[in-house]
Amino acid sequence: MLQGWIIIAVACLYLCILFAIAYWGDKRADQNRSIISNPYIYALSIAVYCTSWTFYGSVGRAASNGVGFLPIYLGPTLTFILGWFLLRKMIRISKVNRITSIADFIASRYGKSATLSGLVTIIAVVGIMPYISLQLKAVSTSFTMLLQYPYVGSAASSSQSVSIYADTAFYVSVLLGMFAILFGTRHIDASEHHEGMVAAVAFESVVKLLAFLAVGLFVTFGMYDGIGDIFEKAQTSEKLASLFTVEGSGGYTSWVSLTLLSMAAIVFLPRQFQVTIVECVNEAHLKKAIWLVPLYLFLINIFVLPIAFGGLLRFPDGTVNADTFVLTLPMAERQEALALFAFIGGLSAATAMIIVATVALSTMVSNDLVMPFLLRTRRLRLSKRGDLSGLILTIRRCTIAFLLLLGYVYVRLIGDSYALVSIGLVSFAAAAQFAPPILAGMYWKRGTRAGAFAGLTAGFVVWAYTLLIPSFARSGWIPASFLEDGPFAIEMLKPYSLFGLQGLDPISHALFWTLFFNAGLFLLVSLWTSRSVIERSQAIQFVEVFRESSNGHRVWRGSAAVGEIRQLVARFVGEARMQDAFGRYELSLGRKLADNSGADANIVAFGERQLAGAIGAASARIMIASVVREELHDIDEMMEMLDEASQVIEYSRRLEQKSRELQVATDNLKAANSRLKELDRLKDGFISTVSHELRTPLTSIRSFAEIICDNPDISREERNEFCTIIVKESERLTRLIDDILDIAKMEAGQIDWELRVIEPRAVIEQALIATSGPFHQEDRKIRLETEIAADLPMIQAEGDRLTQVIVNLISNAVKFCDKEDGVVRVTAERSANSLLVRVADNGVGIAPEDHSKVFQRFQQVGNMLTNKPKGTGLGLPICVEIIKYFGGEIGVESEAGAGALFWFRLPAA
Amino acid sequence: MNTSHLLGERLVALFLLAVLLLNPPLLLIFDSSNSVAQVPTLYLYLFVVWALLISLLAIVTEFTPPATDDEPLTDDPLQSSGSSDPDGA
Repeated sequence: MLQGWIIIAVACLYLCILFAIAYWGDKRADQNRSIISNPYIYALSIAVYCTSWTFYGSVGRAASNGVGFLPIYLGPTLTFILGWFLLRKMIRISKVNRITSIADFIASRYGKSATLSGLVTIIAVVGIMPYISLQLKAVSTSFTMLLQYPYVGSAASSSQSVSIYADTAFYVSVLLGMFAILFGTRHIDASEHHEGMVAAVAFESVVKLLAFLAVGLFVTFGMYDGIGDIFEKAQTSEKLASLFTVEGSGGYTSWVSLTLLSMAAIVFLPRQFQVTIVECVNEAHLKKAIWLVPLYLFLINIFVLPIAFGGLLRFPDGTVNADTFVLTLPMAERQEALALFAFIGGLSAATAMIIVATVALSTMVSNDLVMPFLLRTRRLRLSKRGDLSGLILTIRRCTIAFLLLLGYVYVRLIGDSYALVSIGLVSFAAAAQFAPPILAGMYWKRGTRAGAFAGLTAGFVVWAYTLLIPSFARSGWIPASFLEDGPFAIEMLKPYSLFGLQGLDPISHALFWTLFFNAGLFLLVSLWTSRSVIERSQAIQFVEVFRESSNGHRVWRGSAAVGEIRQLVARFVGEARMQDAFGRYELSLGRKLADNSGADANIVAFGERQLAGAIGAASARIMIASVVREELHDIDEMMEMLDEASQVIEYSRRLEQKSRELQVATDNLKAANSRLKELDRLKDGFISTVSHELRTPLTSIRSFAEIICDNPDISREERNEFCTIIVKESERLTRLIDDILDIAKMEAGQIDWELRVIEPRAVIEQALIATSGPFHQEDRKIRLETEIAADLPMIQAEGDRLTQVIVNLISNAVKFCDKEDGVVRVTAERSANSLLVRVADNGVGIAPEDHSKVFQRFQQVGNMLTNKPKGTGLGLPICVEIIKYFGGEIGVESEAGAGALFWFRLPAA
Repeated sequence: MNTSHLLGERLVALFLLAVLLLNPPLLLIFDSSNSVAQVPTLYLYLFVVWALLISLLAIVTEFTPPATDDEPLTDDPLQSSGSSDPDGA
């Protein structure tokens, strides 16, 4: 016979052991000899995932859904396979930013927003609180059942009929509240570890696993002949055999959505975040935990199906609730000790969850909901008060008490109703709402605070509408018509088939719609809103947490003295801990920080992180802002940095331009140099040509003069002849020198031109007069034909120079025209708004390949050695220079033997 | 080859394998009312695959050489704060 007092004594003994372990754990931590600093304890503490909902509920679910319970444990296995990316990054981010809770994590990512952290806290409390109630309920129900030993059946009385003083759930609440307060709020710094608590939770994980395995082994091998035997017997019943397939277990949609849901829950349930991320002592432990946690889940699930089928076979009439098989099977087989052990196992599963969940939630409530509110309420002048660490701890303790009280009241109010039984998955769905902002926040920098806020709000509202409120309706709190016909009989708004989406089970349905609105709005709003400076810097800190440099650049700047920061930190974490923290910081810096020296960005950031560990990122930011003046300072500084960067860019751009200019200059210089070399060569050529040209007449003059000198007796006729030659050669020499001077001056630009608008006819006529001499010589027969149009345009030129050109051309024509019957033809006409003058002869002409040559200096076509030159060789080059200067052009048209036609064209003025 | 990446890549491969094995359509193959050694095929398949995945996971994490590039972060809060270059200049 199992007496009530024995059960109570054993339960109390168990709780005492728990307290002892927690106390020992904290003691060791204080001595710096941590017992939780190994991967096994870490993995076991993560197994807090398995609550009494697993311990009792898995079998219940299996009894009605076959393998339908399994995705809840397969999902976490999948998540842990990816843990090396996902969890390691979350842990690293949390360590760097001293994250204290999941609300802190989200708020910190999106610009340390107090609003956002408050929202997350509210979602967590509303979503998880009923789950805590479920644990309390499980403890009291299992206790009541065990009291009836050996009678097996549904619990005779629901908790509602029992007075509070006789209700186990009440005492359990009180005891666990004490535990959570003692071991969950020892330190103000919530980012440090609750070593005692973790040690106790790990111990509880061992107990519940052993208890469940013991029951499983007993049922499988004690009551039946192994697993095969149970299934073989079940096979005979058609109803049981239908559970062997997925189709009989809720279908594939449910399978996939439960997998997804539990993948999110294993990380994003606040208690899981607490043990996996916040309580993680060493990142390296994760490597082993990655496979230890799935292994634990595997072990605790091996016997779920055998127990479920064993129970269904043992109690075929359905009088016993399948949720209690773990307890009732040993009882029915009169195994007192085993039944008691099973009860303790269930108790351990429930208490572990309650402890961690309340500690996690209380941290969130105090840091992310109450503190920001109090700090912002100016009337309290809280930010000016002295030591606040006591206040924070008090808030946390009150929150724990309040949460447990609320949980207990919830149990009393709704009793056995549907709301409690289904709440496990409903809580999972609430936690899944944190997935989009966290996952996107860790890998995508563009996500904004407004986006996260919109997504979370939408997800939470849809969650409440599709899961929470319906659970109230099914509990009879609100009319059932709400479920069947929708609110106000609007079909489209039926909570279980929102917008007409039918054919899904309620959980899959809610998961789809919540994530649809949550992720959808998050993306949409993020892409259409901008981020503040702090949001940007936090985004970089989170996404690039593994990059060294991401920790080096603090956006946060301001003017504050080190002493002020110290004081501020001391007020929240206490003087001793502040001294300790800053002492270590100074040690790492290698220098002392004077109280009155200015705090640089790193010291401010360090102080803020110390505060964040105690009161959360959002509150810490408010507090730091109250000390660090000039909140906009950092933006100025940002602009300055931007400015510097753009200056550097500008500088390098200028350098580039300079070098480009230099390149151009170099090219120009090279060109100039080669041109100079060319000119030098030309000059040498020119000088030698000029000397040659000068020497020819000089030689001739000298020879004839010598003849006259040496032969005084030469005849008078001969002497006259020689003198005439000397005079002519001298004239030629003078002309040559004149021409050389002329062209040299023109090329050097030393001639003062006097351009004026003139009448070309007069110029041409003057030139004709000047050259009329040769045409009247008797020894040569040269005809001059002129044809000057009446409508010649006025041109801009210098009359004398133009005359010189025409004279040159005519003289050339005379020189080269036919010896016997020479004809020189000069025409002038208006052509296309310009003056066109042609001078043609009927001489030997010029071969086309020589056309360009005739305009070069000293280039006379023909054999210079045999033919005596007839001019200076500078006439045409001078013409070219003059015509070019007047803006016109000059050219020649000729064939060898067909005479030559020189022409020039001057634009009309 | 960066060993830290190697571990990550092996784990991603394992994750993909797990997703494939534990979901339809592969699940459909074993979703029948037949039994193997008296145990329903589906149950046997799921638990065997699960155990297999956990063993692979253990083998991959334990026998992939440890990361060399980034040191695991121990719980010393100073590690992240003290070493950074003042002013980020």
